[in-house]
Amino acid sequence: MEMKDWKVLLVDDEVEFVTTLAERLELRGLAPRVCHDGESALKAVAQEAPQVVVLDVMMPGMKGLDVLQRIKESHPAVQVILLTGQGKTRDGIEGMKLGAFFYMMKPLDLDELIAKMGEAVAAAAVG
Amino acid sequence: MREARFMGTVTAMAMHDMQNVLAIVRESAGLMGDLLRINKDVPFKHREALERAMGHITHHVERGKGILEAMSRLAHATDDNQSESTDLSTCCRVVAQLTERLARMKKAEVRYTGGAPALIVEAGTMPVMAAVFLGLRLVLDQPGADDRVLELSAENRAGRPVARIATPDLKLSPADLDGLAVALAGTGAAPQQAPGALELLFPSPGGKA
Repeated sequence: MEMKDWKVLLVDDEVEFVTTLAERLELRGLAPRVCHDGESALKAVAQEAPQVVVLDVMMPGMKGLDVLQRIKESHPAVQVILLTGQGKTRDGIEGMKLGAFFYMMKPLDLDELIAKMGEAVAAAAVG
Repeated sequence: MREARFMGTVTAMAMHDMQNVLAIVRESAGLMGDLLRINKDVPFKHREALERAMGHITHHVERGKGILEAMSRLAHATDDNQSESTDLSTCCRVVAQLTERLARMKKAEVRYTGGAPALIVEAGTMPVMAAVFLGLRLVLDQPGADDRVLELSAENRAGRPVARIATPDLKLSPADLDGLAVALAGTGAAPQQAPGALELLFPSPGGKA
């Protein structure tokens, strides 16, 4: 599947971070949707399931790991890449136990994120 | 302990915010780089200076990332301290990162040169980090050539975890070693001089002390 066909949802409460990340992905041909909290992310997934969700772990309101759990319950095929802080590997490992596809630490390496999103899209196709 | 946990929690939260600051700086610089690349054929007088400045931003975001990771581990050390086992390699890596400024003040550089995987010490995280720091500071306080390099490593020596701080021609006096042994009381570490190196021997779980 070509990158332009990937269905990606970015979820992070840091508005400047997530909008800039979305712009950089758009320059590479993707059209990601963006949410700034867990509740709206769940609504976005329910409206149109993406193949990949890139999800910040630490957000106000519903926590990232709770959002992950809810997504995996309602849409098991959706693959979730968690964003954690440096030195917070414990959150990442916990997320992997809950069904996350992968976890990455902020600040991100964009090429690495795109590579992981590609793998996640392939995994979502298998289900 | 209450104060230590307060400091750890507050520092960890501040570190999280700093990570977000760095993430925004990195993505913004990345976006500028993307736009310059897309418009590479458009004449622009200051292109080279802008590209150089973005290179600096990228380099220092990476540097900040390393410092933040070390700070975050230090902040969480108060939680990890509840455990009776600690990874010596991680502690050495964190302390090497956090002593960058101290080393520069002494016209030296601390380089973490690696560690055995999962080198477990039977001691809390805070005392182990403090012991490695005290050892490093003693070596940094010794006279030496400008730009000298201190190589910090964590080794498994016949089942005994050892932090090794090596620099050419290091010679500690017996008084230095005695003073360090006193300072290390309660950390579990025992200092010894080796050729060109200070070594800190730590107790292994259920093993040699």
